[in-house]
Amino acid sequence: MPPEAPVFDEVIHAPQRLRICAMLSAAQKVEFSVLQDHLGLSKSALSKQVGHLVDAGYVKQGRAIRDARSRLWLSLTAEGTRAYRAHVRALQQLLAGEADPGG
Amino acid sequence: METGAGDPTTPHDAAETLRQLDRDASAVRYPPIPLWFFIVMAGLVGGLFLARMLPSPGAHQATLALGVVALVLGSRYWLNRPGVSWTSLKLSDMVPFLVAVYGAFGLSWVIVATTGAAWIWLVGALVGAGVVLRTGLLYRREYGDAT
Repeated sequence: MPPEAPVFDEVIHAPQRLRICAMLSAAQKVEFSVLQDHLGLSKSALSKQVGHLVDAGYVKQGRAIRDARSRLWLSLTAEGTRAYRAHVRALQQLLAGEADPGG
Repeated sequence: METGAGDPTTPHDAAETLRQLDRDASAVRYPPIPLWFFIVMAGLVGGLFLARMLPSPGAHQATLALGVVALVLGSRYWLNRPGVSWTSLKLSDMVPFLVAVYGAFGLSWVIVATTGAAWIWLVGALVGAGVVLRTGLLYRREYGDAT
C-alpha cells in the first residue's frame, strides 16, 4: 500500500483531535474512558472533540458491555486513518524540509 | 504538499507534535505489563526450545500447548485489555526481539541437524528465555510497571 500523500487536515490539526487520532491509530478500538484518562480532558470536552471527528467521518462510535456496564468505544474509520496518516506525513515532510538545506 | 489556510505549524512545532503523537500511540500500544508476565513468557519461550528434545509427536503437542498459552497471555495482557481492543503491532519495534529469538531458534536447529548435539536446545532455551527477560526489563523501564 503506497503511503498517503502529505496533506494537512484542518479537522485533525487541532491538538486534542490529533492526539485522539494518534491513540485510535494504535488499536482497533479504544474505550472513551481510556482516552479521557490519558488526555486529561473532561467528559464534555472530549465528547466535543470526538464529535468533530465523527461529523467529519473520521471516527465511529459504538457501545459494548464490559463488567456489566455499557461503555462507549471509538475507532478510526478508513477515511480517518487515511487522513491521519496524511497529516502525519505532512508534519514529517515539514520537519524533513528543515533538516535538508536543499529541500 | 497541501496546507490548510490557517496552518500555524513550524518545523519546531511539527517535531514536538510528532513526539507527542508517538507518546500517545505508545500509551495505547504499549501498556505497563507486570514482571511476572515476562518471567512466564521467558519460561514459555525456553519451553519451546526444550520441546524440540522430546520425541515426536510429543514435541509437536508440547509446542502447540506452549504456543497457545503464550498467545492467550499475550492477548489478555497486551493486545486485548480492558479499554483497548486489538492493539496494532508496530513491526519495526519488534524486529530486534524477533530476530534474536528466531535467530537463536534457527541457529539451534541448524547445529542440532548438522551435529546431532541435541543439548544445543538447552543452550538455545537459555538464550531465548534471556532475550525475553532482557526485553521485559527494557520494556518496563520504558513503559512502566504494572502489578
